[in-house]
Amino acid sequence: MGSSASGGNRARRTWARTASIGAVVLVAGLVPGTGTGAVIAVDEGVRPVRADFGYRCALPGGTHPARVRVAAALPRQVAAGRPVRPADVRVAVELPAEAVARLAATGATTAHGAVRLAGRVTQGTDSADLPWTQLTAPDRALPATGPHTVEGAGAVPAVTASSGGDLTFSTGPVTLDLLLRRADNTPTAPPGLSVTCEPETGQDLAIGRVAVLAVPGADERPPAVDEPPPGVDEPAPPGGRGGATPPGPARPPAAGEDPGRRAGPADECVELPPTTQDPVPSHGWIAGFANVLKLGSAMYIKDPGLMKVGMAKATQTYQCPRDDGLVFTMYSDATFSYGGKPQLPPVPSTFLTFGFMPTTATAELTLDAPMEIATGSYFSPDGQFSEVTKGTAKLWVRLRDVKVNGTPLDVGPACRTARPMDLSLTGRGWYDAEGRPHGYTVVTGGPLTGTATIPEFSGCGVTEDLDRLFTAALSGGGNHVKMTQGVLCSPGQPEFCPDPPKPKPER
Amino acid sequence: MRRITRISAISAAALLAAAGVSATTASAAPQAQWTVSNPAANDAFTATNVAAANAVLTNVTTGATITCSVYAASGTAVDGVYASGAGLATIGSATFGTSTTKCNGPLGSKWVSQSVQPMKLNGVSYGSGVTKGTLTGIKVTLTGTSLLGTCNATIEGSANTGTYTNASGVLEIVPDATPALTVTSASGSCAGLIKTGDKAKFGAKYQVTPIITVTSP
Repeated sequence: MGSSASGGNRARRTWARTASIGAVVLVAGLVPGTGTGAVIAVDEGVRPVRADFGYRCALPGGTHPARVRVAAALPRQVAAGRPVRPADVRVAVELPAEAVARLAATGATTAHGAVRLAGRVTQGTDSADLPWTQLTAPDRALPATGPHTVEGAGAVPAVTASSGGDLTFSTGPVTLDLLLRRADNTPTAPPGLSVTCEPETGQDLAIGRVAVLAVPGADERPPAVDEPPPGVDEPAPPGGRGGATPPGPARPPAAGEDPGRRAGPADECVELPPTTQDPVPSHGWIAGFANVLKLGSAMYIKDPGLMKVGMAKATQTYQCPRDDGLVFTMYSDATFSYGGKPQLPPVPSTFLTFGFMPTTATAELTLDAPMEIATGSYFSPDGQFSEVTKGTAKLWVRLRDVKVNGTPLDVGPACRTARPMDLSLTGRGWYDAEGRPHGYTVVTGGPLTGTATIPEFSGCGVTEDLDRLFTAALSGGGNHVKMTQGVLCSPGQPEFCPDPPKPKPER
Repeated sequence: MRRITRISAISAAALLAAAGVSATTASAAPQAQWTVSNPAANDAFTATNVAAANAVLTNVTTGATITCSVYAASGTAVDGVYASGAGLATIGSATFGTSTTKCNGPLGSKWVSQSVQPMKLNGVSYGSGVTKGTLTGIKVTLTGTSLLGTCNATIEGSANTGTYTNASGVLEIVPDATPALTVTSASGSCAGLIKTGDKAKFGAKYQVTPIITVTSP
């Protein structure tokens, strides 16, 4: 292992051996055997790696040296094409005493926040950026004197190498974004502190290496980095049953059915082009829950939002040899309406950020463009109708009135996601032999479920940039959403006009 | 456009149970003489749906389907000897769906339908107590309501794959392999599911009362 040349740098120590620290997790990766169709198991041998580096950090008043320790669990080897997602990632930045003294001088007694590491992943001559942006550091008391370590932990993207050869994970610039609080829980002025640290030159920046075993026939491409990482493992997609309804003889649509495409061999049916129709104006109310997976908390859209639907703006039929299955697809679009804007009523929310610190905020969810909706109507061999409705929308998420553990934080007037959040909702329902609806149907509404990925934030902060803090705390995928739509007021159902009932959201 | 060349198996099992019914129409020459015997003094009959046998109307052009669990008909079958199989019985009125039990269509739509002119039941071939024949002069109006609004349509034509069984008094109409019904008008909020010019087929299974006996020659 190399040691650094210039003075003042600490020697780099890297452990890359089967650990006596903690458990060793064996993960079997399956590799296709050559030409036989059999698979062979590769013992990936996940083991902890740890590396210490010397950095220089820019703080008010000058640059100071600091130690950064990066730890993760990496496999020893993987087959090419298999993603490598480092686990148990921790980046600890030890701020020297002088820096801590400056923080104490502002009256700060606790600090929490986000740690961001802009690393690299290298294989041979190919390399890619390795952004670790979702590491959060929980609230810790600041000492009166002496150094202080801020440790961020969280999910990181997976890296997939398509060709054989060592995959090296290396460190790079580290940014600390801290929110400070005084003993009386009031914010310091300014409320936060950003510290940028660069690795000292002349040291080995490798955190750890993974041996990649070549797979015959794989195409050789540079390593690819996932984007963005989920909060935790993505939950399984919502099941095939529609809503919380009692089981009945009727068959709800299977999980695989997609309203825009027929299940089964593509050449079975002739898909006629969609025919434009005059959209039928309808409206109704929608309310529900959005989980923010990373924080284990739910955003409760309790005040139902008004949804205006242009129903059946196009329909599409299919000519198939069989009479069952997807009969036709109805295309609609919808917008929200609140205070003259295409948004849901603002949602007061509470999140547990940075290690269980309650943060309250009001979230504004605004449509970027109308939601596109496809409803597939199916006919089953036993004479039952069922339908699957899929809505896709792009929603801006803007945060305001933020309080961290009761301390107000001025995020400014434009603290929102850098781009709209992609939301996809699916509702499944069926009609029983008496023609009564169950689950979600366009006619009677019901539950729609889906997942959303929250993009990174931008425009947050007034006196300083708080984007990284919100990104670390909130951004990511796997956020489960369950909305409940009420019955629509539409020309065919005048009994629900002009004020259709507001739904009680189902959990 | 692909031609549908085989009988589909969509609706209630009853329609599937039409054993031995071929898809041909009028393949046998009408037999010389037919005898109809109706126990009713006034030559009338009524017909109601066989339990659990749905009537299914399929628009083969669009794939849209309507199913009815309650349907009925009434007409006359006059005793006598007929020189050919044409017009052995007349259905004066046929209804599909009632105001309390409407027919079901896609997206929760509800439908009712009734005939607007008498239809003729014609015998084509006979064997072992079973008559194979056709139903001609069909003209029905169809009214459907859905959340989109109301759709009105008229369908005309014939159903060419029917059987009547003397022993049970069951009249069964199996959807034609070659659809013989045409949508002659469609208006209102039909959302492209039923359009003028669409071809359609239908199936139903009736219990005829009283049981009429048909033989040939």
